[in-house]
Amino acid sequence: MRALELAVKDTVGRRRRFFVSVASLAIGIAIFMGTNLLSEAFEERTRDELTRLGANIVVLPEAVADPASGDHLTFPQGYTDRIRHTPNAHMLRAVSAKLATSARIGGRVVRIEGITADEAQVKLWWRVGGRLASSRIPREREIMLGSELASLLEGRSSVELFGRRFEVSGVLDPTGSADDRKAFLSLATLQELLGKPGRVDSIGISTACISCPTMTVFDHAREIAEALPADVRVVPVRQIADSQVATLRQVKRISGALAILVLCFATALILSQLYASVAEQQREIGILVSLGMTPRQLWRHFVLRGVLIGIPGGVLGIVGGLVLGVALGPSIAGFVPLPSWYWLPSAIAVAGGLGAMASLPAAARAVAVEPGRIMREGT
Amino acid sequence: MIILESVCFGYGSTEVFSNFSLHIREGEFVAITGPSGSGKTTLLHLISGLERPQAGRLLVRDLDLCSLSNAELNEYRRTTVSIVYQAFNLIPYLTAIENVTLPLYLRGMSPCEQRQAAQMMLERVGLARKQHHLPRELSMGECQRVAIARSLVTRAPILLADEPSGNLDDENTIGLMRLLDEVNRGERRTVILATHDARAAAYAGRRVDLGGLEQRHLSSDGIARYKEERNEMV
Repeated sequence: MRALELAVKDTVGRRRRFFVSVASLAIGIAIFMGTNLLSEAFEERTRDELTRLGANIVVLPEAVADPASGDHLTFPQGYTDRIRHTPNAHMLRAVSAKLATSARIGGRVVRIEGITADEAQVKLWWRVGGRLASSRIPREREIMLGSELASLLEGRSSVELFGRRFEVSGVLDPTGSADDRKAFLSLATLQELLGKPGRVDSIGISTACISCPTMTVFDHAREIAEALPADVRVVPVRQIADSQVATLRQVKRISGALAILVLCFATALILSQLYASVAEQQREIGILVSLGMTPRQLWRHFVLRGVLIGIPGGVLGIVGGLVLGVALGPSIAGFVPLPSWYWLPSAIAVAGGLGAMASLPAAARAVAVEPGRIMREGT
Repeated sequence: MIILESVCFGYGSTEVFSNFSLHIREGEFVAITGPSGSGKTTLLHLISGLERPQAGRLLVRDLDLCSLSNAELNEYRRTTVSIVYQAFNLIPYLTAIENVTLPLYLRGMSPCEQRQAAQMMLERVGLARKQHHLPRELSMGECQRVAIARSLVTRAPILLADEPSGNLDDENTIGLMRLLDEVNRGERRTVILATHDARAAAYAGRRVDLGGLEQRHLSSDGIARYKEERNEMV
């Protein structure tokens, strides 16, 4: 006979109570795990959707216009390389340099933007019709029109700009943004037309992770600002960033609170089961004490029982949580969330610990049993 | 030597012992008799350390049980006394041999030694072939033999038996009493048997009648009840 053997026999010997305890804990852990999985998946989906909103950091010239000439201020396009070499650049999804101007097209003043392929990475929602459907970026002598502008120009196949003719090779699907009224050229073309080779007037940056605990949008902005000279300012698009961060925090808070609530519920269930078992087992406890079981041995016995309920409860709960995730994941998150396997042993350990913790009141109650009274009553 | 001097004990307002005194020598076989409720079980509980006297002195092998701490009392229960109950008090989810090894585990003996000692003891009580049976798979007599084996296996110098034959038929009672006699004579262990079975009490070297006024001070209600019961018996 060993302590563990006695605890196993005592725990498994009472099949009904054992199964009820394990099932209670398993349900609790399953809900906890399922909630966590789904909330993580939902968070991932939200994060993904939020990052698709576009640039959440913008690099602009320090002053908007040259006070002396009134001319539009620019800065070197090479700053994009500096941004791409910041320590956490791997967490940036896209860095898109742009140059903008206004010009008349078909008698209307239109905003013209010179863009690179990175712009399509920032604006993932862009859908382009025409020849540019796949590349989404105009080449030399090509122009891409916003949907509203295209309809205003009544389906023209080419337009004249700065004395040069450009073929309309793509029309943006309606985006519901200012892009619908813009025209887009390749950055190099616009730089050449404006006589500003290698110069841009803004860089839009999209981070891969909005509210990663290690690196927020604001941390990225600070890091980029340190890497760039003083002639530009780095602006986290505060409204977007703030709302993105707030949304994610809200999601986390709600799912975290729900998970803790369920965990407390599971702990209470196992605790009540063990606590009630002491009342049922008073006589056996009396026998053990009359045979010389010390309070310490009694504590250990109950803690081991708690662990023995916790571990299978944890394993079953994890399986249940996975099933829950697989069943509900597609409808909630749009995909099947899977846990990181490395934390499964820790989850089982936590379940065992939870069982041990839940056994403490029962153990305290068992230690307080008066063996004399119990044995007398049973005689 | 077990010495009870002017021991007082009661449950709530019910007084069980008032200035009760008793001496039991080492190696004695004493039968404690008396009607139901006369305090036989309580006396065994006092000697076993499951209850403490509320007044008076209780010495067992020079240990003053009244002054022992809970931990010391636990140690005393583990090493000095063992009890056999009428209801056997076997742990239902443990097999016969596991029930017998239980007190040895509580003493910190290695599993191998536990098993060896328990097997020997079960052989001695004639249950070697049923060592892997659960209590519910054994007859009453067999359960009592397992309980006896469990109390003997620790080699505690004092064996307390509380109505051990209460649930047994004649044949099993005789077998049990012979075993207790053998333990007392052969191993020089002190045996204190609480019983109201005259045949069982006859095996003891001395009989202490808790109904007798010379051994116990009963409350006035208790005396009346005792006299009534005695008259009924006559």
